[in-house]
Amino acid sequence: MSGERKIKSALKMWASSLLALLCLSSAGVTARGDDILQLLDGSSLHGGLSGLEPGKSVMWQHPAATTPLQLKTDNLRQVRFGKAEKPPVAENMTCRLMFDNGDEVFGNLVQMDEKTVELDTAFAGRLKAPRSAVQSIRFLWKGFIPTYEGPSSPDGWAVSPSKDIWRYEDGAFFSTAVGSLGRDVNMPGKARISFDIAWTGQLSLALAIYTDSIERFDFGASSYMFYIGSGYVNVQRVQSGVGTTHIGQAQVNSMRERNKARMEFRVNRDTATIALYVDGEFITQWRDQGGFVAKGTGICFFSQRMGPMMRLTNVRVAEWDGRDEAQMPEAKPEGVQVLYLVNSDQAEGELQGVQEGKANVKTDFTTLKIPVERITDIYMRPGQPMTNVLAGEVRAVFAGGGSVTFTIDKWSQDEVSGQNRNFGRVSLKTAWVRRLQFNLNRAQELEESGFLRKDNPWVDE
Amino acid sequence: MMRAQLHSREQKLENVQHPTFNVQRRKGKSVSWKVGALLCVAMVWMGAALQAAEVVMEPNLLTLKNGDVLRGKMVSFDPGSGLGWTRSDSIGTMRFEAAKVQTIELGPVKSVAVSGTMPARLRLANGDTLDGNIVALETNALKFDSVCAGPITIPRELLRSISPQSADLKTVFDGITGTNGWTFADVTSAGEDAGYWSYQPGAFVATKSASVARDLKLPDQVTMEFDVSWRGTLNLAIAVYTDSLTPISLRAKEDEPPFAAFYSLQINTHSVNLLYVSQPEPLRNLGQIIAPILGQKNEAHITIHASKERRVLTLLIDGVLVKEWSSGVPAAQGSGVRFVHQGQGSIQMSNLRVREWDGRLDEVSPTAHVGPDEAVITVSGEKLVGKLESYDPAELQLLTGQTPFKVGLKRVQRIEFSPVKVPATAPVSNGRLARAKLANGGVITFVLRSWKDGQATVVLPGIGEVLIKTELLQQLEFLDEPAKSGG
Repeated sequence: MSGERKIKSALKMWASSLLALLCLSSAGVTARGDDILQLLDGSSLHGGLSGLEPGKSVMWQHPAATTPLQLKTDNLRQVRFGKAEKPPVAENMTCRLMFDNGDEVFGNLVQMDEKTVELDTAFAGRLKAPRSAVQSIRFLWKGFIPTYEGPSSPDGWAVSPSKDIWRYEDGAFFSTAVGSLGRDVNMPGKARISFDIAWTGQLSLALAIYTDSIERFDFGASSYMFYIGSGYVNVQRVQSGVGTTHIGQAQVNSMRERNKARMEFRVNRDTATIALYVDGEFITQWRDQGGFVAKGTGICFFSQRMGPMMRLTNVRVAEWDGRDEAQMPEAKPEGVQVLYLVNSDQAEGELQGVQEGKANVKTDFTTLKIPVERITDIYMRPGQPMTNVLAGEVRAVFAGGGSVTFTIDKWSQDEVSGQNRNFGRVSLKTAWVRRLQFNLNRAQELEESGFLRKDNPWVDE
Repeated sequence: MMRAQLHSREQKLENVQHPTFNVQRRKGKSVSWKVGALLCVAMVWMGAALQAAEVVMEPNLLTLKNGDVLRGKMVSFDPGSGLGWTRSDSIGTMRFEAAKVQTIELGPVKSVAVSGTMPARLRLANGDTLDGNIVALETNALKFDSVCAGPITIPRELLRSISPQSADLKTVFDGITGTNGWTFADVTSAGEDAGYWSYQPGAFVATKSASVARDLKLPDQVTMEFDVSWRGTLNLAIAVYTDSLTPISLRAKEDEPPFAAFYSLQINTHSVNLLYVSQPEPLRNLGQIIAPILGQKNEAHITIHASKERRVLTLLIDGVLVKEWSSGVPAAQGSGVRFVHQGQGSIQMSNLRVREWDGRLDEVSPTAHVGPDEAVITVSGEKLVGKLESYDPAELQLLTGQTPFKVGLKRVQRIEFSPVKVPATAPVSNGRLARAKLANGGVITFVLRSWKDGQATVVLPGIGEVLIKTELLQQLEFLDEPAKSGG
């Protein structure tokens, strides 16, 4: 390019950028890079969010665009931020509150009375919300501690036999060849291991958990080894010096019909059980009758086929309290709450409040004072599922878990703020946001309609 | 630009207003109003969902080199400002660097009939294929009236082969534009997995086992081609020359309503199988072949050539001959076609084109002809080598030694030319090297100079600058390196 043309081009870009920025009230934001913008029609663009005019448009810096792209928010699905930080005290939260509008808030329950619930949150400190907006409370006495969440870079992962077998790009590993991908994830004794996989052709992935061998897929090192195919999952115990023992197999029909899935294994070393969930649905639970033999703290994926492409992303390993989530109870009369207790008992009645570590529940016969340590779940309005999202609301999903829905009034490089129906005005660090989701109702309708988007099989759900 | 919900509405209206949209059960009887109503409800529901979602289906799809995809509309191209792109929700025209563009899907296009007395498909040394009419074969060049670029002169050294085509081949069907005329049916044996194909712009889509069929009045020799993409496992059965517009249970075909014998081409993720299905006779397996390529991808271009009179059926996947069934093939008796999705997952079928076939196979010769003269390959597989002296609507003349030799044009499958060096592509200093898929299935490589107001200015290597109507282009793929000798 000639010098003159370069100058002209630069001036042109500058003028276009200036014009575009002037249109945005929240100008002056620097793109964070490594982000992905997804639209409702399946379009997907890398780049960085450089501006957001609430309810109107976003400014997107794309590496191939000569000027920033400006898109109305009408057809946005979400922005996925490549780099996001967990809110600072997220690891000590002991409650998860689900709200009618879909908010999922991790925090510590301070107190609840007839009208309000008060909690300490990681993202905004102490907050109050109308009790009527709370749908359920789950107590996570083991906390909510991810020991690994990523990948956000290839660092810490061991790839074998050569580095290019699993190629890292934009928060995901891709493989088209045979090889392993391992990492020490400090696997807790009770753990939830989850990840997203997407594939072309036939899926053939192996996974070893609780392994000490992360440099290679070692059939001699103790572990639990899964063989994941298009429609089935096999598990076997590998015991060093002893050999392998088949534990069980599960059919997963939904994986025959799709080319992507979210896999989750819930492992309890004490009971030697492993439960399999696919796309949030419980599939089966296996028990190792010989007791839990693996003692490692690593995981190792192994791509078993040459040719078809596989993508691995959203890998998450977290401590687990060993309890499965309670099912939504049946509908009850107005004003009746359902409490699940750690001994599997169930209490029904009017929850008058939670004060000083005790839940006061008025039943037909008496008033119970139940220590919150004995409670696993509280359903405030049994049988009434959420959610009532309003047009124009945007959901911010945090790194490490949790989300809040609000009407944004300001987005900047450092801070996002807006009006939340539960907490009023909220202000968050922009860096905590992993995903910013738009047009929530329409996205849901599209999913339910079965509208087929062939364009990009790698777009995340 | 098309709004998905509008299409759903149109589909619903068509279903109601046109009696030819006929929903039937497998047994061949019209379904009761209840089932019809349920189907309508399902379609209304889907339409309503899309309507509520207000998804704007932009006509073109841009894929960038980093894998990003963006729907929209290509509005311009020039080497300086790059690619101009718009969307209904974009503010201003988006501009992308030309060097970072990978492909642009320009949407379904109608094929164009070749006019003239000597229609042919040319294959060039760089792998390009062009449809058009031969105007004159000269000593050093071929004058050719191409469908995409009009009259051009092609140096003889650029020719790899000429495949004569019959002048009067009719197009039977060209593009899926709606549900009108098609018969939709479920696959009863699938039980709860039974569903229906649905129409989406330019395509039929099924998420459960389903059948769609039409009596296209298939000619005795036919070429049928379409694009298919799938999620999950591919298991598509195509009934060729059938008279049954509802699926036939092969396990209990004797119990089905009377039907004429047909070919059942079964394309699976790993293999392809051809069955001959006749009601009074046992099923006849005409041959299976492993097709591992389908296990490694999620979309393919399928071409089927079938001849009732010659009792031949040929399958090409992505233009490559997979199998020809010609031995011991009995005659099929119907004139319709039926597509039955029996896999698990979703499938989409688009760009369906059906036309008469002249019996010639348009495939790339597996081994290039070498020698100073040309080789004429006849439809019966003979190879005649000589200097091509003349070419007219009735015959061509070869000079073998000093002896002239005439061959009727109808006997000619293709004329092969010795490979020569691919001409250097024009310097790509003022444009972007690209390869385009054409409406008629051809491919051309060029340097794209500009794209504006429905016309593209391109430079064809070794031929020169021409104007192309952009409506004739189905896909643009931008290339980094000059095109190499194809084959």
